[in-house]
Amino acid sequence: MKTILHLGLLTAFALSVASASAQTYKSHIEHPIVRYRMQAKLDPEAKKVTGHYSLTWWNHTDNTIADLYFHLYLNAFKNMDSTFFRDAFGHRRRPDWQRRERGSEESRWGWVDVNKLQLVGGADLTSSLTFVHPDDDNAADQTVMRVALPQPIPPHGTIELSVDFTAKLPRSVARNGYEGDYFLLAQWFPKIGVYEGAGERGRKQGGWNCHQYHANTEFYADYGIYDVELTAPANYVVGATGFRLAEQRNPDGTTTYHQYQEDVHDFAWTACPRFVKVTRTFDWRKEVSHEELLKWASFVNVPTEQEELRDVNVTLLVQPDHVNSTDRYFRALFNGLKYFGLWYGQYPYDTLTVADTPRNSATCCMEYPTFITVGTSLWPGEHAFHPEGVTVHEFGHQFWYALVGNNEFEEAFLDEGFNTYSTSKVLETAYGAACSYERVFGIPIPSFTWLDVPLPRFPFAGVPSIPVGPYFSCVETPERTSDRRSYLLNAKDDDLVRFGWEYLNGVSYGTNSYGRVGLTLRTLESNLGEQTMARVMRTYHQRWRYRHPCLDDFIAVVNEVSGQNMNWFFQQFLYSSNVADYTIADVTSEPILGKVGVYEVSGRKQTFRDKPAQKAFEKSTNKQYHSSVTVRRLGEVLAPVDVLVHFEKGETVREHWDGQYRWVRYTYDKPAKAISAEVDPARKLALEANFTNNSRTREEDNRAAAKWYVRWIFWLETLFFSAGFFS
Amino acid sequence: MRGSRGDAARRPYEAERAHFRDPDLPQGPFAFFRDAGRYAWRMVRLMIIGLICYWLVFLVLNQGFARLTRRWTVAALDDRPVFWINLGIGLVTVVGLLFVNLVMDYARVNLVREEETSAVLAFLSSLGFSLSRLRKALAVYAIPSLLGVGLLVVYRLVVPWSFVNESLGSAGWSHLREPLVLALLFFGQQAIMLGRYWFRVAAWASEWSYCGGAN
Repeated sequence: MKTILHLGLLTAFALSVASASAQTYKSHIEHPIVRYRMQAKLDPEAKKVTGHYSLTWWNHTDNTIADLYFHLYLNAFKNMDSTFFRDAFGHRRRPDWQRRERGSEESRWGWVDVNKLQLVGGADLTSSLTFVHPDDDNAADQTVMRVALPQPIPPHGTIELSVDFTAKLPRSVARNGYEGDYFLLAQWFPKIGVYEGAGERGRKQGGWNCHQYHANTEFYADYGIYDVELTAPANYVVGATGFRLAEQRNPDGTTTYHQYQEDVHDFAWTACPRFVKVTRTFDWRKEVSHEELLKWASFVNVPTEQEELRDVNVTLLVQPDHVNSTDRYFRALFNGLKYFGLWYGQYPYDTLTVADTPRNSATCCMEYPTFITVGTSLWPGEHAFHPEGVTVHEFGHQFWYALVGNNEFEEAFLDEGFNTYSTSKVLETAYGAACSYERVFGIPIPSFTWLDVPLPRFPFAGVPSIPVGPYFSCVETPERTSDRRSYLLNAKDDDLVRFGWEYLNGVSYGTNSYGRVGLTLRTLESNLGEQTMARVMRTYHQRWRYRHPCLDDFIAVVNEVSGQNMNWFFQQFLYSSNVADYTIADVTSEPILGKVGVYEVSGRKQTFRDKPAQKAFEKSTNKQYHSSVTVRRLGEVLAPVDVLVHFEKGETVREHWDGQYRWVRYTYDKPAKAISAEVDPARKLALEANFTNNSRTREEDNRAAAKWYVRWIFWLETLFFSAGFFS
Repeated sequence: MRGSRGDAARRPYEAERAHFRDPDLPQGPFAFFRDAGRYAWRMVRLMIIGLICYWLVFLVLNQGFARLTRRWTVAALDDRPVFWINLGIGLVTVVGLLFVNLVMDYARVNLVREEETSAVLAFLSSLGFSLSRLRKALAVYAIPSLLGVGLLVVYRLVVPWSFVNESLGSAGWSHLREPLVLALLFFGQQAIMLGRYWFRVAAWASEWSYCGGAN
């Protein structure tokens, strides 16, 4: 027994020393606002976490603060009267949410109780806790808690609290909770809100920014230090935010993991006995060649030293059925670390932990500082960017959310949309265009993402849809115009700039927070030029690292770096629900004949007939044609566009229209006829509502129709034949 | 075939023998449509029976099993068993559909060959026939059918798609080459379709022959 004890202590000591020696992160924040020292223990059977923390909170403003606000996010899943569920389902009781439940009724719900809250070395404030509802009049919502203080906190003063809490985890919902023996503990402890001083994020007066948990919102918190000891059964594999300082076996069959991280605004963790743990190092000198370093340093206009990255210890906790995706996960993560780092600045932390979520859990695809959740399928398609897309996206949130900490309640587009833009650029650079088909057992099957026909539930139970894309050829999806389908379907639902819970519905929230922003930034990039845009993004990122920017801060950086006043652009594309639609209405070309009609010749009226004029034109060796191109603006967005006119013999003329009035007409007298015209030929307006009317030929051209006719007629014949086969 | 109706029941129709049965009778378009009209309503009734059978296959095998396995796998955290179970359900459904199709094929043959007027009896007779000689009946049904499907594979593999794609809508489009490529593609497609129909007819002929031999 003694020997075992000694061995255990030795092992614990060895683990502790081995881990601690590798931490190299140096804080970039002079005075952190929060410092949590926390201990938490997971009880997998009860689906509960019991915890205690001491919180040191610094009032960084010039205001005197009489109360504190806390988020109790888990209470969103306490009952159907929470604002979260009312947002999602209205006042309808939806007992069918989570019909997957097989356990008791109680096991599906989640909540967090504050058992005790007191000033360290001072009064017990538990009895002064009240639930407040800053966003709506829902008295039943318990996701925001107010603590009345016996003594206000003076400007730049500090308060220290001691908190005991119990968190009951819900069956996985909204990327939180458990499934079987798998746990994702996110937004799981009482977390203090953000006190914003006057002038911060455009605020006129200081005050708490602590919103209730809505169905369409995420999170907002201050930067600080998380020093957390997590205890779980020893057979569980645990991953968490931050660097692992130590790992210690306990006599009761549990293990305690000591995690530590500075300069982060959240802490999440996962535990599952079935995780397969794979650790690899992102060795940046192997991943980035010297030429690449020079290229991107020049591109974003920084000295080469500032472009250097750092090595990162990457841990992947992968589900046993997804082990075949391990290399693809790591390649995607390394691509993310490389390109986000080269474009916006190095990933500063020592570690990155990635949890692969199991089947059917609603915990996939979420971001927390130094920790993300991702997902894949049993046999992921070779070309469909799955799991690459989601992995790069969730990693990208380390830059847009973890490092640049915007308010996700009020301006979700600042991280989700910016990350959509960045993700598509990384995918484009690292992988090229996406092919919209997958290979299953070596057979190319069109991807579910392209041209699907949804099938009725009867008789096609379990068959998601029929992909009707072209079967054996790669259909490239241009990343710069991805997400257009969702945008076009919902373009007029909302202005882009709104609080998360104020959009028409979840679809509009998704469109306006993700795809539409990505397309808008692509359009901005087209206006500014790729290099200027890269410098804008880097400047904005560097300037607002470890801080809380708002949209105006981004606009200011755009104007500063580009040297242009781009306010018109943001007014057009962000603060309205207008759509852009430019079209070529008409292309004509007529011969310029000589005189036809009655003219004064030597003081006498003389009539010139058209037939001789026509004959003269045909005989002429210097034929001239009068061509005209009419461009119309059908949408409400006013944006400058290019117009490209093609003439016979290969001549082209490029025009630039300010796009302000409803139409413009260009006329030309040339020895060649106009063949066709195209507005916005470079597809700069990624938000254009209808690309198909952007070009027109002077004469009808049915080649494309003929091509598609011949192909489709065969498959229609085949379809009818097959139907006859079963008749 | 077993289970077909007796001579007494068939007798009233024998006065109007189908022209295709007697080479001495005139075999023109009129005879073709006359023969078609003779079997049309029986075939429609048989088709309705077939549709009901397909519906039952979807209802019992696809929907029923899917509902059952969903209950079993709803809490599964591992994709693998769920995949194999769903694949199994899909295969069972396909087998069910093919079996109904096979039975319908022999029922059609029965309807014509035995001058059967009752679609129900033709179907039941075919069901019994198919079940009692399943392996051979399946082989006679499957071989020409698979050859027809094989033609589709040939179409995909043999057509020089890169040449076709380069020829259609490219910058160097010629007024002659593009229509020519389209026309060749179209005729090639029609040849494939003809081949598929030919194999279909071959399947029926094989079934006809097998029915005769089995009797």
